[in-house]
Amino acid sequence: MTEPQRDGEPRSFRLARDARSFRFDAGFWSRLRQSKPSAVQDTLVSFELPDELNTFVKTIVSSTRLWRSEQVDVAKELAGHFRDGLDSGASTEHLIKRFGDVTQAAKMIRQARKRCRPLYWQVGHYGFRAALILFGVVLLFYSALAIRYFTSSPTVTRLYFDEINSAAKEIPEADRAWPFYREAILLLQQIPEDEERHWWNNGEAPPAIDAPQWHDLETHIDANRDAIAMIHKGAKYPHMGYVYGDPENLKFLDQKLSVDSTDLPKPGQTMFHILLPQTQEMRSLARLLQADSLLAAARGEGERTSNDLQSMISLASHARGNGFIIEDLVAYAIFSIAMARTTDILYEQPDLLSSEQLVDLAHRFSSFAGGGALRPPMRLERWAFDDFLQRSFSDDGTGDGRLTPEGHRLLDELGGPVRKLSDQSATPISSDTLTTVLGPGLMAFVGTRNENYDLAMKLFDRSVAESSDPYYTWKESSVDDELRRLNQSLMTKMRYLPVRLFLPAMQQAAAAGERVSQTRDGLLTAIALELFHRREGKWPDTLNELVPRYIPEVPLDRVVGEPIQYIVRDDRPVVYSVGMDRQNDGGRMPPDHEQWVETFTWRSVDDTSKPKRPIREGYDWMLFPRYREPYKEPNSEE
Amino acid sequence: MRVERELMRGAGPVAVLKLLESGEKYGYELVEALDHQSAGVLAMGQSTLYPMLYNLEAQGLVKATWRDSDAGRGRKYYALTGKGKKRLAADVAQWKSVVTALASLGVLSPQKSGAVS
Repeated sequence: MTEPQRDGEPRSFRLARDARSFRFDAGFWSRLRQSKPSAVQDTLVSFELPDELNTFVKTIVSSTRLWRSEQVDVAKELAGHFRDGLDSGASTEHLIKRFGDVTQAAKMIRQARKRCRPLYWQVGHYGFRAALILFGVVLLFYSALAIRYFTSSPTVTRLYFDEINSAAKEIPEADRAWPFYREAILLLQQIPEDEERHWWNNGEAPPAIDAPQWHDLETHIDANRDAIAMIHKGAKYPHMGYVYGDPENLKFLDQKLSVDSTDLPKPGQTMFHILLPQTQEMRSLARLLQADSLLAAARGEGERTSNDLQSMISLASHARGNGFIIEDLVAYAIFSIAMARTTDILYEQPDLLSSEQLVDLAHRFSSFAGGGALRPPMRLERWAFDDFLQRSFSDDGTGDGRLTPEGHRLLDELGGPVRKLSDQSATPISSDTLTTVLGPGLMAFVGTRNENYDLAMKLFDRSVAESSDPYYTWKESSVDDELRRLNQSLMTKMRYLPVRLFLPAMQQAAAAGERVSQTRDGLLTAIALELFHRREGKWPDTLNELVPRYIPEVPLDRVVGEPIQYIVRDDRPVVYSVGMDRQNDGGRMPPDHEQWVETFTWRSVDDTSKPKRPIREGYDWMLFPRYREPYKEPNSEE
Repeated sequence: MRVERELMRGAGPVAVLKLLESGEKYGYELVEALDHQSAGVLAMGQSTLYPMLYNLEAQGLVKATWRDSDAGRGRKYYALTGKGKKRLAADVAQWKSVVTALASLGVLSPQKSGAVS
């Protein structure tokens, strides 16, 4: 069949509309002509129909709501049909009656003609409709979720914070160290941060004894004499006794908390919101004692030095506070300062402290935090996690539930994904708006309260089991593996969002405990060696000679599970662990800070996580003497 | 006798395809042929016929062509396509089966079933 040549033929129109064959052809021009509003009327003229039939045809085609060119095509066909009927002798009334229902006809013609439209139109049209339907379904589903979400609320059944604070309140006021520390903090004349390092090199190698920095240090200590006295007083008390909400703390809080001078969590806040304003200040107090001990040792004042060291150990014990992981880590840091000072004094001024003072210090060091392998207890981290869940999830009566708007708000406050999205987004949408809009969806994806609780507790238990023993028993953390697995898919990332956000870095915390434990064991061995030397006039051949008079047993090298290493070099004892390369390098001191850190930062023997950074060999984890940063003049910093 | 709408929906397209088997026809011709050849049983108004023709066209079973009539006016002729011929054959076979089945149930007499071919 040849292509029709008449104006307005629909096939050309259709083909010309098709993207594959669109061109400026006859169909294009005819389509242009047919787009005129009067095109249908113009078409009907040539059929010379009675007015009644003309009107009838126009009514039908206008009711089809088709494209104008399609209407012209239908009008032509219907007009031709009626013309044929009239020519064969039928009456107008008969033809109209026989035609059928106009509305129904227009509807059916419209549907049928649309099926004749080009493929690209069909795809676009039905695709759009499918998208609309899909959108409607999603909207309906989301509305149902929204109703469920916005009508849910958490139920708090256990007041963890009150339990913690009650324990502190039960400590008799006469046993509390905190009031003295608080006074010391208020009296403390801080050292400007930028000057601090150069006054006594942050506890590393100090400047030469006649250097001008010593004068600055003396001035600083003189200015803080009252604060130091207060610290010593507080250090003699058995318990920290920091009570939240104590009005006696108002002045301290006003000075230390810039925004809101209260340490009490606001209604609805979780244990993650608990401030520890006292903890960081404890480190400042320890640094003051560190400075004082440096000056005291330089002046040959053994009693004062010993008091400073004893008080530092007490400060460390008190800093453990309630048992939050951050408190334990600060306590380890303070304890490490005390150990470093004692190690330096013992190596550089072995006669400064008396045997009694050394024995007393040894007892204090060995009994810190219960002795043995030091580990943050994680008890309050478990509480904090459960507290977050009970304040964020609904409770269906069995203890299980879904994320609530309150939980979403808390997630947002504590660094959840919506806050990040809002912060990173260039759009002006506030995180509150995003929270409201995305909340129901987040609820659907975040796992239930029990799912998150069970996984978190399982990982806590597993981490404790994997890292409760010394380094040499450790393997790659299966907890880290589990967390990596959770991060591999968006579904599990969302499902266990609370676990991913709030599970502490437990192996790192345990590693901090291992470092402190090994350093303590090295120091206790060094003290025992010094006491042996004073009594026997020589160094022992082996550490076994120290047992049991000076130490109950030879400590372990915690990296390899063998006795700690000991040699005598230049008539001085050297105590060390073989370090992470697991090789005895004869007590070789690392040359710089970076390599020193590598000697004790835990890596498994078959660690493949950092292929470009293999374990560096050749140095040991020096415990006595210890690695110290060399002193640098301020202007030779870099 | 008029055929029920649902039954007509199945029979109508087969009837139209069958009429076009003998050659191309325009709308009015088809209306008249359906009316006369089926003794009015399959008579359908234009409101049914034209949408049906458009559907058959959309399915590629018939092809429409505009040509001038003797009077010089445009007229649209419908012709069976290859695909339409195959569909007609298939539909006829199905209708035969239906008629045979109805006959075996005593709904139709065997003589009338032969009329379908």
